[in-house]
Amino acid sequence: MSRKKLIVGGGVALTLVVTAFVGVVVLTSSDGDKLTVYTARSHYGDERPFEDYADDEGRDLTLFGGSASELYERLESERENTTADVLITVDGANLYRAQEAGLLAPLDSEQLRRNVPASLRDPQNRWFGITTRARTVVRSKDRVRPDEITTYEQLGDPRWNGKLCLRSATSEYNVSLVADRIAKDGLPATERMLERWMANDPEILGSDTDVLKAIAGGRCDVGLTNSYYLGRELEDDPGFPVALVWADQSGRGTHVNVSGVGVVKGSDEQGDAAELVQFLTAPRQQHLFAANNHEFGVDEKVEPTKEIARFGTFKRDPIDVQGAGRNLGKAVQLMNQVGWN
Amino acid sequence: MELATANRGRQFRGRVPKRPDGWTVVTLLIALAVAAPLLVLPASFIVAPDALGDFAGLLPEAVGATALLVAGVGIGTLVLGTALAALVCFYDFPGRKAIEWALVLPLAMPGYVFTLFLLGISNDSGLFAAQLRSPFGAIVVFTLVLYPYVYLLGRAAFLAAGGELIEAARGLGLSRVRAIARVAVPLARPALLGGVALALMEALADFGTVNLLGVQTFTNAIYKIWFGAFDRDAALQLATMLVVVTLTLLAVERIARGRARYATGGGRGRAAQPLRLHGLAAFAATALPLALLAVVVGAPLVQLGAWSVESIRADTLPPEFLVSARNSLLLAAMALVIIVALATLLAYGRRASRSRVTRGSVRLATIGYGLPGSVVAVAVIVPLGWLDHRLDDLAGVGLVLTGTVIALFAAYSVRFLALAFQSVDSGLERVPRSLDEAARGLGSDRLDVLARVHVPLISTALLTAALVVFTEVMKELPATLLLRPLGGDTLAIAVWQATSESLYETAALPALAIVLVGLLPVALLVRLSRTMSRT
Repeated sequence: MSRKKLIVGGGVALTLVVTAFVGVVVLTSSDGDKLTVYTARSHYGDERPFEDYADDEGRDLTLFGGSASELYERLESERENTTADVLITVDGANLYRAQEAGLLAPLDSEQLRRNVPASLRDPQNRWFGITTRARTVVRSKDRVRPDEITTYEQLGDPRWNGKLCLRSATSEYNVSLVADRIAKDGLPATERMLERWMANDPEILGSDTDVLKAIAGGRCDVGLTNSYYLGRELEDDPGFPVALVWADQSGRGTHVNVSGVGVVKGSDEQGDAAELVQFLTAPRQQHLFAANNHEFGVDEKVEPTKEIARFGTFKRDPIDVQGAGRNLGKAVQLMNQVGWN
Repeated sequence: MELATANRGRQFRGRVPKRPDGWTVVTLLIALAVAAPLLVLPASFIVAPDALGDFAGLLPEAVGATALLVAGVGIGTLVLGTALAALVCFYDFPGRKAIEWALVLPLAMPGYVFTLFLLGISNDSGLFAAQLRSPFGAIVVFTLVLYPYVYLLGRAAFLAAGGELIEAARGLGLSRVRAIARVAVPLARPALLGGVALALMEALADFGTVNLLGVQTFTNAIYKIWFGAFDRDAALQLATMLVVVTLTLLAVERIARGRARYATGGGRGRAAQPLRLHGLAAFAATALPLALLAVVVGAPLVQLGAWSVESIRADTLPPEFLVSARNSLLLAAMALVIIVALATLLAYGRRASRSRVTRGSVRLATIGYGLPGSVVAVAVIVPLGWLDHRLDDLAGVGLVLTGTVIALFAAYSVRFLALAFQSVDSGLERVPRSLDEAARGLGSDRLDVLARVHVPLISTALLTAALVVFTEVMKELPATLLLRPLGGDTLAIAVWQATSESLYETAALPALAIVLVGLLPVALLVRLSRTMSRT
């Protein structure tokens, strides 16, 4: 081996090692004694409850964002070595998935039972709701009268042919809604409903905001969105020409998904993690979370924002997390089969 | 091995028997390190043979949409990239020098950022809303942001050779246009097809654009099954099929250019003397590329800028914006060093040893590019995670592989090694093999030849590779999302998190930063390649 060869080879190897080392040092900021929260909630403006906790307890938090699915994959591969202490998701399906994979530790507490209604927490105490999110019908204020549409079924009314806007089937909110209908109404009834929706040749859009804008812009008359997206539009522009319809009020009520929290089983700090979960589910924090994003507290006494409150109170049909969770695969298949992209 | 050496000794009587070839070993090791994780994909067929059965309905549409996309983007980038490259190489018109380099700028525009811009405009104005969210819309988007791959490689090939031949063809009575079409373009075929292959692999691996536009390609179907129905095995099986499509594409590309190696026999070829255009033709030659750039780069930058200003005024910037920016730059710079080094070793290894094993190794090492980042991430994280837990059991060190940037660099290597390799390899192919022999004959060993002969000769190709890797890592989203260590948010993640909440204004500044930072190395590269092609 020549000297030159040694020098070149050594140089390359050294560069690689140094590069990797610098990367590890710079990017792996040590977690120290901070509590780490994996959160699928958007952290825009969501920091407040965590800051409050840090102030109250004198303990810093690290927030790690990402979609629930990605956080799940991460927890699944880290298992008992995870740095995460608490997991927050934006929908029941992902709570179900984490629970089924054994990623969450049970937590028995009187305070939690008081803060969170039984329908919005795991019967085995592995997760607890913080806020709920209504997915319901929206209509153009100018072109659709309130009595013209009152139920999810009626999105399939032929009068909306070419006038219906839906978000794409990759949206976890849509999949959860369909899975919940399958769990409660059965597959055939849900299939009939979706087929009627599809018969209206809906325009499929990429986000709930796009659906609202399409209605405001006159391309569609009715659609299906989470209520807080309309809350945001109304906050920017109180005259935004779209109204919420609380669907199915004479039936089961409006479909409500749950954003919830649980203690990560692999956490080294179960005690503090449990404390944080209790803190985050207290009515005051429910209120902060809900107010920031126009959602609802799991405790119905928590007041919605004024943008949402103006559509009145409504009967809620909380998602059956176990039932819907078991039917997620069927929901995806069904949506594909009826042509909902 | 002894037998082989003995045989060889007999064949080449009088020469010193060769030692086992180190280059074969190096290429093989790189290939195994990069490709081994991908074995996770077909393994899903063994673990859960029936998983995909539940979702069989998704298949025909995924195949159809993907085929349509491949055909459309292939034709689109080939036509647009070749036409533009020929225009700037063989004609002269006002502003040619500026346009020549400006045409590379769309390389810095990620498909998902361009799509966001289009969706935002279409939302506000209601224009072409229905056309946009369709396979047609996706083809247009991909063609506009991916044509520079064809343009860059085509331009390099047109400049490297063709001058004398074009003039010879003209002398034989062909018009200039026909001389270009019948001589220059066929000569540049390996480069052009290489560019198309890159563009197609990029389109196949894309998730952001097809998801935003609702096109039901393989990547979208994989995402649907995985993150909607939580069926990882079925998703991995679908991903396996996507690998097959990518491999087919690579094979087609290789066969197409396999026998089309036109070494220019010794020194550099001479570029053709550009023909001066006049009147309407000159105006069109200036205006059309400018209009293209206005649509693909100018308008999005202006709109993103306006949204950014609004987000700064309304204080709706993403949290820790500066940390994300630093992380993006660091990750891209480090990945560049690692990946370009690996690509150079790989490309040179194949040239040096020319054995069947090295050829196979190269093929193996470059199959990751057509895969969606999220699939690559899981393919990396499954075996690394397993190894990590074993290491932790043994030494109690915690997660040293998956909890750090190491896993991220592994995923980047799987994803982008092919890109860097293409560029380095096409540079190497233009260096006549006789040079290697000459240098070896003078007593240098292979590594010496690489360091003292090839690296200086292919510095442009190395820079291209570095640039491409840098921009790609800046843009990369799904794998980064899955594998980033704590505190490792990047600009792309900031864009994605804001976009998934439909907060376009919040997404604008990090998106703008990605595009602007991506523009810098593009400009640098063009300057360098210009000075080099002139000397």
